[in-house]
Amino acid sequence: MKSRRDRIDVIYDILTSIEKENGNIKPTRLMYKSNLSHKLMKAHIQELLEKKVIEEVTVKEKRFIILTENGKELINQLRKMKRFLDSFGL
Amino acid sequence: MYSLVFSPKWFFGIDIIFEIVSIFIALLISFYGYKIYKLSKIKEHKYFSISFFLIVLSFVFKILTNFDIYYSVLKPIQIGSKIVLFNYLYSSGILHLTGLFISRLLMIAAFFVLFLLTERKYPRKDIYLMGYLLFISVIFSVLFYYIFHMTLAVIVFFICLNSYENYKKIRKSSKFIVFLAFLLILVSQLAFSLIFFEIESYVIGETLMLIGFFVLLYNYLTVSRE
Repeated sequence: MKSRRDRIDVIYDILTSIEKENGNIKPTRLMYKSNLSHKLMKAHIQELLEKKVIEEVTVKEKRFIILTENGKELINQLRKMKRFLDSFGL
Repeated sequence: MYSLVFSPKWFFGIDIIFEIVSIFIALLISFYGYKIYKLSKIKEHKYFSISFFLIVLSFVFKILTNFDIYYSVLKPIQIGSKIVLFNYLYSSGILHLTGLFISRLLMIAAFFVLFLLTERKYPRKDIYLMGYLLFISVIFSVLFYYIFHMTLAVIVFFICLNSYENYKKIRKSSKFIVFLAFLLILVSQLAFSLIFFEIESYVIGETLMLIGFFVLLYNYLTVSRE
C-alpha cells in the first residue's frame, strides 16, 4: 500500500473536491476537503491556475475556485492514468 | 560466415512482422508512461516508460540482426581450381553477434527494471550485484542461447508473482490482465528455451510473446476508454 499521496493523487483530489461541490468551491473548504496544508495547497492552486485547469472568481466579495473545461478533461485523464498505474501495481 | 537460424524457414519474415507489432504496442505504453511522468514527476513512472522503450530498442536490434541473417546472397566460393556460386546465408559475423548481444542486454535490462518497479524495493547494492550477474548471463547467452531465455523467464516469473500479489490485494480485471500478459511472456520464454529440441518452439514463443503484448494493449485500451 502507498504510504503517502503522490502528485497525481494530490491534483486529482483537489480537482475532484471542486467537482463534488458542483464545480465551485471556497478556498478554505477546498483546503479542508483535499486534506492539504495551506502552503501546499497554495502552490498547487497557483500551478493549476497557470495551466487554466481552474479559475478564481469573486461573487459578492467572496472568492471561489471553479473548474474549467480543461479541468474536467484533466480529471478524466488522471482517472485513466491512476487506473493504468494501478493495473501494474505502481 | 554461416549463421545458425533458430526458426523454421516458412516463418522467416513473419517473426519480424510480429516484432514490429510488439514495437508499436511497447512504444504506445512507453509514451503513455512518459505522459504520466510529465504530470507526476515521479521517477518510478519515468523508469516504467524507459523500460518499455528499452523493449522497443531491443526488438529493433533483433529485427536488424534477423535481417542480417535472412539476407541471402549469391557468393562466389573457390573450391579447388573452380569458382562456384553458393546461395548461402550471408552474415557479417561481428555485427551479427553485436546486434544479438545488444538486443538481449536491452531486453534483460527492460524486464529487470519492470521487476524492480513491481517489487517496490530498491536496495542499491543488490541492484548492482543483480545487474552484474545479468550482464554476465547475457555474455554467456551469445554462446548458449537458452541462457538468455531462461534468465528472462526467471525475471518475468518474479514479475508475474508481483503482478498476482497486486491482483490479490484488490481484485480488479485490469490487474489480472497485466498478470496474464506477463504470464504469456513467461511461457513464451520457456518455449524459446526449447528451440534446440524442437525448432517449431520458436513459432510458439513468438506467437505467445505477441499475444502477451496484445493483452497489454487490451489493458491500455480498456483502461483509457472506460
